[in-house]
Amino acid sequence: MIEALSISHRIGSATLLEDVSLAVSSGEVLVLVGPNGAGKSTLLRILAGEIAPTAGTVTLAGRPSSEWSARKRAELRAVLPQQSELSFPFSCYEVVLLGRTPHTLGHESQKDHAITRLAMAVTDTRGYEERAYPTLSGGERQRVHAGRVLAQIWEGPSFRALLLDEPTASLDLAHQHAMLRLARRMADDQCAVVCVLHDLNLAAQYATTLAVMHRGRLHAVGRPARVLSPRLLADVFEVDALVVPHPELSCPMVVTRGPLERKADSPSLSSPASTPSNESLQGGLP
Amino acid sequence: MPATAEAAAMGQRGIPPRVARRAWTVPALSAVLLVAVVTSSSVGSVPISLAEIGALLLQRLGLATASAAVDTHAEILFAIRLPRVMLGVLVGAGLGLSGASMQGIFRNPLVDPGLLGISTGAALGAVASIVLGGKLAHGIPPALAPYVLPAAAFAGALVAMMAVERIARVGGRMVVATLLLAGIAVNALASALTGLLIYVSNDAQLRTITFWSLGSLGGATSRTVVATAVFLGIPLLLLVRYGGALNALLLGEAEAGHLGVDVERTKRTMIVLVALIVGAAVAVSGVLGFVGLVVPHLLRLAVGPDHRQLLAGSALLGASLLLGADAVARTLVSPAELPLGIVTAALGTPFFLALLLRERRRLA
Repeated sequence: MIEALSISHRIGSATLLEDVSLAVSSGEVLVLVGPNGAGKSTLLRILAGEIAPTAGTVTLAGRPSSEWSARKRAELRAVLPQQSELSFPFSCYEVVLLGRTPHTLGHESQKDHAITRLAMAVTDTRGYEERAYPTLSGGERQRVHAGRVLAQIWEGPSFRALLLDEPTASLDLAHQHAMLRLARRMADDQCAVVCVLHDLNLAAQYATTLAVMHRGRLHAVGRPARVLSPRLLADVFEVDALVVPHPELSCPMVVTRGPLERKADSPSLSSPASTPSNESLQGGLP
Repeated sequence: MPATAEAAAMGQRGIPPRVARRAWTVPALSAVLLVAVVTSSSVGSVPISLAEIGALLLQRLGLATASAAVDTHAEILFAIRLPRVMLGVLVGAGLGLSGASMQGIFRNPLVDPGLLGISTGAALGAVASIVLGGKLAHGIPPALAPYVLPAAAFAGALVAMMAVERIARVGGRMVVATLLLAGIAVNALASALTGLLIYVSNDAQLRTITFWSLGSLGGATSRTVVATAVFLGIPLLLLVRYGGALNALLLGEAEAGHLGVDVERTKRTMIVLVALIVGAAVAVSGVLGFVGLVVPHLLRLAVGPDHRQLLAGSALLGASLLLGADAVARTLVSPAELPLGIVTAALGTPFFLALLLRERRRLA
């Protein structure tokens, strides 16, 4: 289990996170959603150990993460950042192989090479082995890093955590689904997955748990079908939207009409017929 | 995805050639260095044949008594040439390795100790000890006197390197433009202070400074070799082992942390080791430009950027190239000799420009 206990984070007078607690167990895919500036990425970076919160602790497998050695932490937890700054002409194979760093003492074994090849296969980067990383497009780079991160925690102790910061940001539609399907497969293999996403429909389809953040607080946590509602979409995301069942899959779908009209009497470009549910939404507005 | 049995079964198949080839880097470059050592022991204003070197070495080791060699050759070989060659190996290895390490620490393939002002900082320290040393010498025990200049060079290198690193790092990331500007600023400040010291120096000090700052291995004696082996050789051996950590660091500091590298400690240790090496190298041989820049670049073209090979390889290739440059410096205008710093700069500058042009074409 990876756990955040009463995390608060402040920079100067600005409060980025306020008393956030959540726990993600093996087999779970927790997707963090929320509008811009809600604190999703800050929370993920705190879970990743990149920044120390001003209050609260993060535990990994039951122990505060600071009590694990750096190397042990790397065996337990892998993090896919939004972007990396690698400018040296590593080949893609070498980048993925870097994921094995915590497991190798100077030299890779046959197993490390084999895992590298498998990680490249599942991220659809086979055939890129000898291409220089700096020549790749944004989406290709993202997939190579995904391969690196998977290689890092491909196997290992019973508990592992995988943290993904907007892993679909630069990917095409097919690769967005492939990436999240991969996250689900890692969860099926006893990983606890935490993922920041913007696309609520992707979140609804692949999350086992949806955590909605709003102004630095956890607004709602639960199964996507329970959490997503027109009311929540209005309160948190300020959109006028429907939540309908997916025609074929067992997950909800968000269908947006447009941004929420803040006040019923504000000048509106839309016809009165397009805002029928306003009265049911107004209750949620401050 | 517990496909490890499958993974193990796949075995060696399909490791890309460059990755497989890397294992040959260090043995091949060791062979190159051996050739360079033997050749540069042989050439000079008084050539000594390889057979003669062999005979003299055996004689010195007590394995042979009869000597076919000319007496003066033994003197030249053991008192002058071998110390010089060994100093060249140490300094060249130090410059190559510190260049490769700095390019890794700063995550930028275009930096070297000269460009970022680290050498200039060391030179400032050294010049300060030459000019001000006389006034301070009363308080220093005579036994420690020879170490004042190297210690001052080390301090100068360390301060310069820490300043550049601190200025250029913004929120855990190296900003390239800031990095280069910080290097220019440190260079300018250190040069100005050095100029000021030269201005107040007397004639004897001025001659020492001028000769020293052109760069040379000419001052090599067995004592400087031993001192350099300690102050440059030990940090060198420690620094070579940071290749794996540097590879991870190239992804960014946060990513290196996620891969199990203690980033702050690694960086701090490496910065001190690089400063020790640059300080020691500058102290014994002056500022030798471009070795630290050119060597890792050449090597990266051949074996890729994996620092586990690149660091040791840069040390070996740096030693070989510096011996080559020194051989040129000794023989080109023989029996006189050119300052080594002029040779390395004359060979290195065109190479650096070619690199920039290549980079420009690639970005165009």
